[in-house]
Amino acid sequence: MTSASAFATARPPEPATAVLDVRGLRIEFPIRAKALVAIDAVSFSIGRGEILGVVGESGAGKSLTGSALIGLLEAPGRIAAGTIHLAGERIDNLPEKEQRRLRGKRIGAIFQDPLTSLDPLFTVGRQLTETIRTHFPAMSSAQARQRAIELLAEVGIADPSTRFNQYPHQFSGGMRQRIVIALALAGEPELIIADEPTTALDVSIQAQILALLKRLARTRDTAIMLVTHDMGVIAEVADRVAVMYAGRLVEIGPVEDVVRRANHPYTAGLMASIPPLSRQPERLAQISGSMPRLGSWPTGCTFHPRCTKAGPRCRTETPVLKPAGDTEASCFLHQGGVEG
Amino acid sequence: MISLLATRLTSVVLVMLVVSGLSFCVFNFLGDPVNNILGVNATLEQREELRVALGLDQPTIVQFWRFVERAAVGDFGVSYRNRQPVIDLMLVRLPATLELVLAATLTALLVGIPMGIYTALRPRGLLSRVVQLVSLLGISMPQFLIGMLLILVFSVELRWLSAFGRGETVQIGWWTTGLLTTSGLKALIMPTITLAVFQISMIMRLVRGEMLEVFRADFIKFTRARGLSDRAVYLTHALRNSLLPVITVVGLQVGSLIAFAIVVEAVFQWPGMGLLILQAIEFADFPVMAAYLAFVGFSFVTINLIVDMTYLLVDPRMRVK
Ligand SMILES: Nc1ncnc2c1ncn2[C@@H]1O[C@H](COP(=O)(O)OP(=O)(O)OP(=O)(O)O)[C@@H](O)[C@H]1O
Ligand SMILES: [Mg+2]
Repeated sequence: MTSASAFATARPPEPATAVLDVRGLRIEFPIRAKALVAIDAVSFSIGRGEILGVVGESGAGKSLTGSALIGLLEAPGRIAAGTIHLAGERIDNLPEKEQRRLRGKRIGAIFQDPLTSLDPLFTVGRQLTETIRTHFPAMSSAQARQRAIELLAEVGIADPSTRFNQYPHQFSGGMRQRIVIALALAGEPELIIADEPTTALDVSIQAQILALLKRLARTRDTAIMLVTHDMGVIAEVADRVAVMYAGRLVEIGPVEDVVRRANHPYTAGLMASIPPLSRQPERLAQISGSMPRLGSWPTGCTFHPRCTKAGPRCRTETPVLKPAGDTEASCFLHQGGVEG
Repeated sequence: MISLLATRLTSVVLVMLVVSGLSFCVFNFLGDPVNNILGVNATLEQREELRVALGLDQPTIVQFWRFVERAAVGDFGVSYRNRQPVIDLMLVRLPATLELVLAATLTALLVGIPMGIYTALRPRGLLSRVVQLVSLLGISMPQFLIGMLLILVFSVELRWLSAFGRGETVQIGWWTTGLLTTSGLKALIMPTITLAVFQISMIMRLVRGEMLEVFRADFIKFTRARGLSDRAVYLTHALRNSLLPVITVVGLQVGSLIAFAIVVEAVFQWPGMGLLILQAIEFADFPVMAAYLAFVGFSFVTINLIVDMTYLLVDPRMRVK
């Protein structure tokens, strides 16, 4: 953990050196005549070896953001505005063929349920080698096999050359998630998007998988976007955290600062609602009401109907992310006041 | 896996015993064998003699066991109608039916599966819509009608294909095959299509439905996220997973093809077992009926066994100890 000190301050990376830089991302679902906006004005970046946690209630748009990054938004969903840069290169407007070349190669993905992420009919070795050879076509099958066994060892699978020949059903849930991670690493990606990678696992296994992700970020310098419901997970592994609410980023900053000194009232409520060691704060006791459904967002700040500090300005104007204390928050409390 | 095989084989034996029971009932209790063989004018002594000779004086269970013993070595007695051993009649007819059923199965698979894949990949394409509409026809049209339409067009109007029989055949051992002569192959075309149309439509719809289902699975999304080509995603991962239920249905369908073959053989005067059984029913030829019943039962059981083995081959989850 020598390099960990580099993240002690956990400042956002300079856009030029960031592995991932998202600016003003907006995702729409055109439904009949009008377009439902599911994500709007989302901007953030992740540096090399950095883990950015993304939290928010169910439906806030976390997974949608992740899908957009790997170019797997399901139709009719589409990116309606904004840019995505990977290592300085714009990727959101690439044709599908070029996008596929990034997928698995430069951007790896890990999904929630390891039990259903693997094809049950093929050995894990076969799934690994096919992925490796897709991204490194020059490799012989013997080399790919060697590489696959190394990857299995790297993610902590004991006796990898035997395990290579086994089928997914012969592994436990935690082991399968390790294999999913090995598959995500197969193309040597700069960025990994992990969408709730531990939600489906036992608590004790969760800690192991998180430790593995943390180790990979440090040893490989891989940037990781870690989506989760669980603030405990964020506190454990993330360097910075982004909080989403109703399709918008409401606050982003170093984990310490966001947890201790939140600047957005929603984040403050979210943090106060974490009972120690509990998971998935689906309902927030400290904040009355619930998140508006897609398509029925209020005008102005989408959080204002639930906000105890809201003023007239919050109902008419939409705040954007701006530096506030030690974090960035999209709240008028830090942008000249809530009075109109 | 060994124990799985053992249970399967046990169930095969049990099913075959039940089928034999049914077939024995047809053989023994429908009509009077003595009457059938000697005619109504025989004397009482003659009748008694024959009853003893046929073992009909023994308890039913003994008779049944003898029937099973003889059936096991292919002895189903003598046909009432033409006084030949039933097994000889059957063996002469067997190749014609099996070749027809095999041709229809292959056609159904080779046409149905690709069409299913295509319509799943291009659900909105014009060709997909046409194919689906036609397949609806294929499912709902009665077979004899399809056969007669084919005859009307290709035999009566165009005079391309002969409307009946197997064409020239070649003898290989006891097997007569129509697959080695041009006229034999030509004769196979229309009956095969007639028999296969329903199965093509069925398999196409099944493959399409299963693939659309599998496309939604998490692991397909993950194969895409791994960056695999569309070809690998659809034809390796999605297709293989879609084929599991298809195997089961195709197995059942091949079984029913043997039954459907009766109609097709009647339409095209195809000299197979179907025609034989139709004649046997007409003449109340019970030994032939009993043998046919045993044959159909045996076919179903064998096909089921093959389906189970294929499952073991394709799905590793079935191979757990
Ligand atoms: N195909 C779609 N069509 C219409 N709306 C969609 C579609 N996919 C997602 N949405 C909507 O977009 C919003 C964000 O969904 P998303 O899956 O990103 O939420 P999330 O933050 O990941 O939630 P969870 O924590 O439950 O995973 C939700 O309101 C969802 O209903
Ligand atoms: Mg989600």
